[in-house]
Amino acid sequence: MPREINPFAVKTPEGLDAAETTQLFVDVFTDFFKVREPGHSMVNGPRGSGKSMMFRYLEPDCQCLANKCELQQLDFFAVLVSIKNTELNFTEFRRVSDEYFNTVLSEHILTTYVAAKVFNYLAGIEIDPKGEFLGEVATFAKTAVLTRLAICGLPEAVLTDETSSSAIFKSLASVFDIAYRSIVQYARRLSFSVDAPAVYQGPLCGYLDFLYPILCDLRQLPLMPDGPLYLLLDDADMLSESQTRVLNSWISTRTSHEVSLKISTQLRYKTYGKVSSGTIESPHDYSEVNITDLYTTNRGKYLARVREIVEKRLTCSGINCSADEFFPANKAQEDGVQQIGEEIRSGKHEVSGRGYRASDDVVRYARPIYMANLSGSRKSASSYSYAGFEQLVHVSSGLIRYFLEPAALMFSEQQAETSKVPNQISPKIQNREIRRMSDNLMSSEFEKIDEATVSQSEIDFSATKEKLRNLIAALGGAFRRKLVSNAAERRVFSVAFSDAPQSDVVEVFELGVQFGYFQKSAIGNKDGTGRTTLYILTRRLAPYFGLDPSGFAGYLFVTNERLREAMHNPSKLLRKIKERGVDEVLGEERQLSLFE
Amino acid sequence: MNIVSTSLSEAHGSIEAADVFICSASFEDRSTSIPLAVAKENFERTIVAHNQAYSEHVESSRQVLLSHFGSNAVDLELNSNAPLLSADNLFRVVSEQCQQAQRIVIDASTFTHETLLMLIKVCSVLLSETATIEFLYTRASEYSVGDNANDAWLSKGVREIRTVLGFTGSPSPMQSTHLILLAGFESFRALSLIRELEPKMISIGHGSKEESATESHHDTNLTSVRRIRSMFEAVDTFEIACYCPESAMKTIETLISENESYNTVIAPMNTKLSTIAAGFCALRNESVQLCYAQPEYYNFERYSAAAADFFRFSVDSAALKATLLR
Repeated sequence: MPREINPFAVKTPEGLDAAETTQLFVDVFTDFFKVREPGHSMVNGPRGSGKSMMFRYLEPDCQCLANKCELQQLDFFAVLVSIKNTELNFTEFRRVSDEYFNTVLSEHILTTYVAAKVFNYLAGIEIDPKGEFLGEVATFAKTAVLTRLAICGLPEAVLTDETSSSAIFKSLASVFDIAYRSIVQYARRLSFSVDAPAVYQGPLCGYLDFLYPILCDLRQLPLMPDGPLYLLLDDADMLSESQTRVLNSWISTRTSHEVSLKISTQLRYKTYGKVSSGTIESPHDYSEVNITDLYTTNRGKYLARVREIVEKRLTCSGINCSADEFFPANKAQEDGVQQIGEEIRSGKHEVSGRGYRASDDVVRYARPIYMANLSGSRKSASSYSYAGFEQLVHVSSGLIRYFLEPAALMFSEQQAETSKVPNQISPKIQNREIRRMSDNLMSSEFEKIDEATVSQSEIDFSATKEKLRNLIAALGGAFRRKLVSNAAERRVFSVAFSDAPQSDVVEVFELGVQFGYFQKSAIGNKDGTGRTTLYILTRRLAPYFGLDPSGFAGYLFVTNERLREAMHNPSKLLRKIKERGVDEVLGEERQLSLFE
Repeated sequence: MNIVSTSLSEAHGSIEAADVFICSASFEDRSTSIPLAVAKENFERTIVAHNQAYSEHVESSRQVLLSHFGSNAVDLELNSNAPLLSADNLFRVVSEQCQQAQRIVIDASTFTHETLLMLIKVCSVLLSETATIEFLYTRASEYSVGDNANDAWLSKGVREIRTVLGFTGSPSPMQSTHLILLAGFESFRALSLIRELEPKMISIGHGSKEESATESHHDTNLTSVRRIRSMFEAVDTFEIACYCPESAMKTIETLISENESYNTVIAPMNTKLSTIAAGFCALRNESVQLCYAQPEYYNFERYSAAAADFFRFSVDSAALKATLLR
């Protein structure tokens, strides 16, 4: 099968060269400035939110290219360490029942893994092409690294090649590679050691007594920049619990002025506990960055970011057009929406709760009226097209991956249809793929919610998962009814508690948040005495429920009792709404509504 | 490793006597196809494995098999949710029942991919050098019975991705990952593996048209592969013989040797025969890692329909051990 170049295909950042990375990278550090600053950081966001790309861009080869400077002029020196499940978290390690030994082994494997990655990176970037610092590098290798390794139990480690600084770093990487593989060998011996677990007799290295001083000495080399060294640990969720506790203990050390740990997680970080008692805390031990929080609350910024990313990718692929041109909307539909907009301006449509300006009413009502005119049955509702760049961005719900993955499929489908490289994606294909994605979210993707990754270990998992499914169905259906009603605010995507949140209801929402079906924000509570949590249904479900993805303003205040009814009997609740109307059941008084 | 296809009606007379017969109860009908067809008096002992994680769905088959083999049956508990328990029980039972055996017959049809690989590893460690293992495999005449190609599904969700016990491989932090996926219908599991492992290179193997049970399965496979390719860079595809382990082994080993600068991870999710091939490759080459994506749940009611024929081939235990010593 011939290879196809798809501008929206997932690019593994660690595999990108510096030139491509800097070409594709959209500067998000104005949004997440703490990541660049010295100090430990945790960058949290679902897969595909751009964490790995951010880390890759921080590496020296990209920084030198982007800033057009030499390495020694950089503010920091960063090395990307991608944590792979199958390279650190071997099934065999589950046999290690002794907690102390498990901790020591976890720290050793993490240390050697990181060290191998650091020196391998240094070997690959031609850091000293003229050999000016060969003597210093050789001295560093022997005194700072090999001497310490001998103390840790590996006296036989030697440099195999000292002809250049790169060769020395490569040699050091190989030493740590061998040390790491010896642990893998040990793991293999654990596989079927049923009666007498294999005994580990290899070296043991730690962070504070080994890795950290080596990195500090590395920083002192004249070929390194003056600033701190950053270890960018990507996908730290892949670590075992024991390894995670070790890493947390590293974070809790006051070492960030020399070595800063930048850790990315996919919101499934196993624990914030340390090896000793206690936990790490933000901002005391580290700064925390939550990527989706920003992009779900500042959609203008997100839209701009996505446009930039898409247009860069198109340009790199030799497709010269704007994002809007490449993803055109359904023209007939947009003409229809515009027509209704004109009618609203002329007063033809009676709209309640008129906005301050006529243009506000057009934004608020034109598309919902268009969608309502299509409705009457679910079948008609499905004739609405979600094509168009801005609609696709809204549907992606603040997560770039949810734009790029469907876009990649659309590109492939368009190419399959026309047998040539597309210069735009037809609205038909856009709509088909985005609807398929939305349908999958409620079917096969929903089954991905698995007990092993649920962070709330106390809940009755099966029951809660079923309640979540019902809740989504009820809310989605209610929002749809709201959209096609005559309410003042028809575009509703969120709910908040009108009474004190009850734990059995919250746990269902939280499960939904963990798996991307809801996002969390905060609003003033109904009484005006404080704030309460707002749960926003992901707009990736807009096509499934026939909702307007651009709408965001409306929300409902709901009682625990009504939410329980939604969780246990969504059909009954939706029947009530269908029979008595949205406003009657919900008891709407103003923009805010109550379930009664 | 000469593979032969035989009608189930001939199983009674064609499967020769053996010290031990090993089979696995399952929610699939074909878990009992071979066991009930062979001459049970030909086996001194029979090990009947079952997956406790799905006990309510496999109990009926388990009772049929235990009852059929009577006092010669040895019950073996496995558990997809507890790989260490599965490994320990496998090791213990095979050690007790097979260490002196000269001929073992294994019906590989309905083991999970993970436990089949663990069984192969255990056999390579425990069996005497003079023993032989005959593998049997009942083909499925249909998957996702009664569903059209677009609606076919075998499993949903991914509970966990983990390395297979005994096949850690020898990954190097200095190398990138080459993921070899032997995928069939399970595009969701394949996607989950790719997303979690983030390999630099991906090779997806699919069955050839001549081998697919029906043409529609081949088309479904190719559609799944195309969609995966559209989402990720550096994806190559290759054809693999799903019903001929020897040929499958050669294909996989060629791929490995062409990409020696990578950490090779194989995720076998196609037929059990191709999984056996992957297991043999990993035994021959210690640097190869095998991994497993445990599904959340299966299409218990309509997973497959058993065909009326089965495949069989033999290997010498010495050959398995010889590769270990390399």
